[in-house]
Amino acid sequence: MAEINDQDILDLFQVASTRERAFSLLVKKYQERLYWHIRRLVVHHEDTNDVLQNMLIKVWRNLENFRQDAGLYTWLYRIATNESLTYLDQQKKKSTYSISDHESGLANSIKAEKGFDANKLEWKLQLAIQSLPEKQRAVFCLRYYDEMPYEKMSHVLETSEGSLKASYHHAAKKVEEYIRNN
Amino acid sequence: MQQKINIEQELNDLQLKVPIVSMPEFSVPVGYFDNLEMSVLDRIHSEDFIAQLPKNMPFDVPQGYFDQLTNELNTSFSLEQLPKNTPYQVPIGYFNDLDTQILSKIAQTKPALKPLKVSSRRFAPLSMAASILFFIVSGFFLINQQSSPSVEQQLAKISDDEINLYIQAHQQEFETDLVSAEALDDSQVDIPTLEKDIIENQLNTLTKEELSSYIL
Repeated sequence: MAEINDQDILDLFQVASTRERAFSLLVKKYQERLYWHIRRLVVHHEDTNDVLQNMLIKVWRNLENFRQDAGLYTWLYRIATNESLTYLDQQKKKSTYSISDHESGLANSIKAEKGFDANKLEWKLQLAIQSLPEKQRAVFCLRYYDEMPYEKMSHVLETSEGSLKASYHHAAKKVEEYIRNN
Repeated sequence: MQQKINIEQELNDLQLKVPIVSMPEFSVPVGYFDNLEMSVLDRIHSEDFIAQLPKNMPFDVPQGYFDQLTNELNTSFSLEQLPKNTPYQVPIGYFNDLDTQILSKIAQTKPALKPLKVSSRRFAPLSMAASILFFIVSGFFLINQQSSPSVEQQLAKISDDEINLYIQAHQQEFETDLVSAEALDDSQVDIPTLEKDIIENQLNTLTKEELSSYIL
């Protein structure tokens, strides 16, 4: 079955009788990509589910007023990224421990994941990603996993392409250093 | 010399026009050939000595180092070589009904409050100013009320004994005031007669000199 066009989804959403169908199509089309993007940032499945559902409810409420020049894909990623970063920020504020404890808590969450193997490179990479500052983590994941062009990423993170390139370069260096030393 | 003539002859026979150049007179250091064999022998002995030295290195190498070296070189870091799969697991069937779950959640939640319209926002500073004014005025009255309590409240603070003592001490003044008050309160008082009496009293107190000076 061919993937439905974004414009078709938006057109269906404008009509009250097909609004829910349009929304279902949108969720089906983007759910996995958005889920994995959020999961790489917040780690836990339950937290990811909360963030994903909240962001999709925001999408439902705002899709009618969505400015089509932005591109649906980048708009969805922007909401997902902002929701994830806000969630992490809230967790940090709630935490009675220090920020470094919170970050090591995320690393511990990875280690507690089912099937964790410290010797496998894919797990080492997840730990390396969690050692990055949050914004840099988002930049690395968008570029490395989603292979998003810098031009689109600049719409998602509202940052200049130059800054994003520099940020990705720093992140890649830190990931390399982490994997080499661990 | 005979050899040189023969070589020239040979070249002529070959009809080659190569100029015959005589060898330069090289010089050899004095006594070079006397010590040559000694120098060569010294060198041979020296090389033999070096050759006899042990070739094994005294340093230790970690066990299995060279076995791992190839592996390490093969797994040298490159982002491109890292796995792109995220190793986390997702509950089975999670993505099957995510859209239905969210739609039912949307149906349960009330619509979000709409933000103030621009026209309402225009009046926001005015309503804010009115609220501030209201709080200032009511605060002023409240403070005044608190700072000047009523006569009843003030009297309540004074004991009955103190009041009785004050009345006894000022009894005469109280009586005079009460008489005056009674006279003034009486509606049946003849005001013109009262005025005449007051004037007559005042005239009686004046001396004849004062009266004549006033008239003049």
